Amino acid sequence: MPKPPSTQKLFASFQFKLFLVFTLLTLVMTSVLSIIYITNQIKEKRNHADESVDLLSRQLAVSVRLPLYAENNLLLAQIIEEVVKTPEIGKIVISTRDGRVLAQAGSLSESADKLVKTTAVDSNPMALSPETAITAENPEAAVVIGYVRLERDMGGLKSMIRNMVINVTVISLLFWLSVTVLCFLVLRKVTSSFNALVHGVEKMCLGDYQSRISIVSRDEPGRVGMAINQLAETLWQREEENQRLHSKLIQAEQMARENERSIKNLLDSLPVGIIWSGRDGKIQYANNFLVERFGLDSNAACTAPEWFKRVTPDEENVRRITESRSAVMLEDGEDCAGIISYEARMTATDGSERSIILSTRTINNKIVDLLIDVTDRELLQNQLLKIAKLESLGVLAAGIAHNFNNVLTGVMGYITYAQKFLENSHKSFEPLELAVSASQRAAELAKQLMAFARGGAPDKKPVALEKLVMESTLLAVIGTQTHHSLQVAPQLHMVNADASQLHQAFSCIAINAVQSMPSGGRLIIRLDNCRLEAGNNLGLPRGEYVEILFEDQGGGIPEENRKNIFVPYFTTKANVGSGLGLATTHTIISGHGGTITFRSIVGEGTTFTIYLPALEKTDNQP
Amino acid sequence: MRRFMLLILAFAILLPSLAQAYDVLVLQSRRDPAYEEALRGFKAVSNASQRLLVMSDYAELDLVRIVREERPRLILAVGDNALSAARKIRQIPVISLMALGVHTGTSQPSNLTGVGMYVSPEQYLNLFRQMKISKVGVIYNPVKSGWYVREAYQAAHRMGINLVLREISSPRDILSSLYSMTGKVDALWMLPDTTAVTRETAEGYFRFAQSQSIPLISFANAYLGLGAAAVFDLDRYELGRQAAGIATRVLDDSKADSGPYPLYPRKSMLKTNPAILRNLGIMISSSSND
Repeated sequence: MPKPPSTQKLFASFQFKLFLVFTLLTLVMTSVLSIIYITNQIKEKRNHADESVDLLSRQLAVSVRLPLYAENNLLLAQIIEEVVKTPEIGKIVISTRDGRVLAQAGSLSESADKLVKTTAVDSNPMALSPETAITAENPEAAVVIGYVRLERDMGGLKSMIRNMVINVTVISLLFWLSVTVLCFLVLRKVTSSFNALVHGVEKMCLGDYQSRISIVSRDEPGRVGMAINQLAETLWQREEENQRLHSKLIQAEQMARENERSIKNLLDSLPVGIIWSGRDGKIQYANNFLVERFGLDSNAACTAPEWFKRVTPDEENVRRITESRSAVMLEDGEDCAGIISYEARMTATDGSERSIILSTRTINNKIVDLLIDVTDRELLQNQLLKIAKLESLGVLAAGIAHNFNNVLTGVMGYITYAQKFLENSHKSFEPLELAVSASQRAAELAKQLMAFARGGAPDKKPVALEKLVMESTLLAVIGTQTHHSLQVAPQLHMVNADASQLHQAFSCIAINAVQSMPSGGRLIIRLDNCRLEAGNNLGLPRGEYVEILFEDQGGGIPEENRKNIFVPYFTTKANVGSGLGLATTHTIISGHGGTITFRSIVGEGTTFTIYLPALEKTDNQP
Repeated sequence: MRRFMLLILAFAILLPSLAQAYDVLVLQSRRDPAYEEALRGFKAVSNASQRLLVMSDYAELDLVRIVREERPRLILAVGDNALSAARKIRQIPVISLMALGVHTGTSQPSNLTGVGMYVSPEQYLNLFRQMKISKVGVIYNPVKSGWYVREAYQAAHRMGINLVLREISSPRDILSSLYSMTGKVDALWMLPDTTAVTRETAEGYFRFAQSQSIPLISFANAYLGLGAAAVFDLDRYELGRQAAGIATRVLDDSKADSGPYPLYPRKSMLKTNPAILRNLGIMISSSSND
C-alpha cells in the first residue's frame, strides 16, 4: 500500500532524518553506556565479592597462622565459627599443607552458585628466624604452612545484579525518552530556518526566480538563504536576458529565413538562371528561371556538367562550357576573383534554342553558374535594327515619294493640260487618260509610301477595340472558308488610338491569316487586358495594355522568312501583295506606343500578338 | 722457549704448594654482608694468612680433603653451615663465628671454640631489673640453649628475677608454651634458640607480648620493628675482632682455646623501641635507639 505523500515527505525531511539519527544515536549510546555500566557493575560486584572473600580469607589466614602451625584445632574452630557468621560466607575449611583438614565450619550445597577462595597460610614473611635476624638483610621467602578455603554464596549477588540491571534499564529508557523529546523540540526550533530555506529553494526550482527565501535567523541556513536569494536575483536577471536574447535569436532566425526566402524568391524571380553546385558538380540549387525555361529541377540527381551537356546541342558549346567551368574549379578553394563569361546556345523546354550568356564563378567553395537568356534581347535588338532600317527606309521612301509625287504632279498636270487641247475623240485622248490613271496609281503608291514613311500622325481617340477588331476581321473573312471567333475578356480596356489606322492594321493581319488558310480554317481572335512590368521583354514601358491575339491555322512562317516579315516590300505572295501590309501594320502599332510580335510553327499556324497601351481611366470614362 | 716452558712448569708445580701455605682457612657458609662484616673485623686484627672458601659457591665441598691437602693451621667457620661442616675436622682448631648452633646437645669437640651469639645473661637481667620486671618468660630448647638458661637462671636468682621457663622440643610447642604463660610473666625473653624461635612462630611471641601488654626483649635489631621492646644487638665487626684474638692465641699455642665455649660477645648494643616502651609505660636508658 503506498504511503501517503505527506508521510513520504515527512520521512524524507531533513528534520525527521536528523531527529531519527539523533534518536538512534542516543539510543545506541544509552544502550552501550548502560551495558558498559551494567557490565562494570556486575564485574565490580563480583570483584567486590571476590575481594571481600579474598580479604576475609587472607585475614583469616593471618589469624589462623599460629594456631594452624600449632595445629590447635580447638582454637581454629573457634576462630572460623566466628568468621562463618559473616553474611554470605557459607563454609570455611582450614587444612594443613598436606591437605589434612584441621577445622571446618558451615556448609553449602554442591550445586549452589558459590565463590570459592583458597588462600595459602604463609609463615609471616616479616617474621625472621634467628639466623636471618642476625645475618641476612632481606627476609626469607614465606613458607606455606596450610590453606584456608572460604566458600561464598553468590545467590544473593545474582539477585542484586538482577535488580541493578532492571534499575539501570529503566533509568536508561527514561533518559532516552526524555532526551528524545527534548531533541525533537530543539530540532524543530533549529530546523525552522532549514524549512524556510527548502521552501524557498523549491519555489525557485519551479522557475519562480522572483520568489525570495524568508530569513528567520542569522545562522548558517540564514546566510545560505541570503546567498540563494542573491543567486535567484542573478538567475532571474539572466533568465530575463536569456529570454530577450532568445527572442532576438528567434527574430534573427526568422529574419534569416525570411531573408533566405526573399533571396530565393528574388533569385526565383530573376530573369536569369542561377545554379550553384558543389565541387563534385552535384546541383544544390537551381532557380525558377531554369526550372521553367529549361526544365532543370534542383532536386535532380544530375550534375551541372551533365545537365549542360543535355541542354546544349552543340558539342563545341559543350566543350567550351566544360573547359570554362573547369578553369574556375581549378582555383584553390577561395572565391574565384575572376568571372568567366561565355556565350552558348541551349535548348529550352519548348524546344526553342536560346542564346545564353554563361558566367561561372566560385563563392564559398561552391560553383555558381549564371545564365542570362539574351534571346529576346537579341530579338529586340534585331527588331530595333529593323525599325531603324525601316525608319531609314521610311525617310528614304518619304524623300523618294515626295520627289516622285512632285514629278507625278507635274506629269499629271501636263497630261491634263494636254487633254484640254484634245477632243475626247482624239486618238491620243484615251492614251492620255490611261497615262493619267497610271499617274494616279503611281501617286497612290507614292502616297502609300509616304504614309508608310511617316506613319501618319494618328488621330487618337478612345476606341473600344472589340467592335473595331470585329469589323476588321469580318471584312477579311467574308466570302472565304475561314471561320473566325472572337474572345473578349470582360471589362476590356479602351485604348487611345486612331481607329482608321488600327482598322487598317487589324485588317492586314486578318487578311494574311485568311490567305494562309486557302482551304479554310479557323481564325481565333482574343482580346484581353494585361499588365506589363518594367523591364519586360517587349521593350514596352510598365503599365496596363490590351493584348490582341490573332491565331490562325495556316502553314506557318518558315524560319528563314521570319526576320523579314516586317520589312517593307517583303512578300511571299508577290502576285497578290505589295509587301507593305505588315510593315505598315508595324508602323501603325509602334506609332500607338505598342508593339507587335508573332509566333509561328510551320504546319500548325501563326499567332500575331499586338500590345496597345490601355486608356487610363478617369472619372468620366466608363 | 725451553726456558719459558720450564718456568711455567715450575710455577705449576710450586703454585699449589704456595697456595697451601696459609694459616687460616676461612669457611664461610654463604656470601652474606653480615658474615663479611665479621670477617673484616677478623682481618683487622689477625694478620695470619687466610684462604676464603664460601660453601654456597660449591655444590659439594670436601672439607676434609682440603684440610688434608692444604693443611691450614686453623679453620674459621663463619655461619652455622660452615660450623656444621667444620665439626668433621678434629685435627686442627676450629673457631666458630656468627653461628647460632654452637651447641648440638652432644659434647663439644676439643678443637672447637669461637664466639657465640648469646649475649651474657647479666645484660638481659640488668635490663629486666631496670624495667622493674620480676617475672620473665623464657621458652627454650634445652639441647640448644639449656647451658645458657642455666646460667641465666642462676644469675636471675641472684638478682631476684624469676625466670618462668618453658622447655620445648619442637617449634609447634611454642604457642602452647606461650599461652601457658598467660598472666604469669611480666616480660618475655626471646633467646636466639633456633627451636624456640622460628620464622613461623616468631610472630607468636609478638602477639603474645602485645596481647599481654608485656615487653618482649630479643636478640636482634630486626625484631624491634616487629614488636620487640628492646634488643641486644651484636656488633659483627667486634665479633670478628674477638674471633681474631682467639685465632691469634690459637695460632700461637697451636691448640684451641681452653676457655669457655662459646665466648660471649665482648660488645653488644641495647636498642629499644620507644613507642612500645611508651605504650607499655616503661622507661629505660639505652646506648642507642632505633
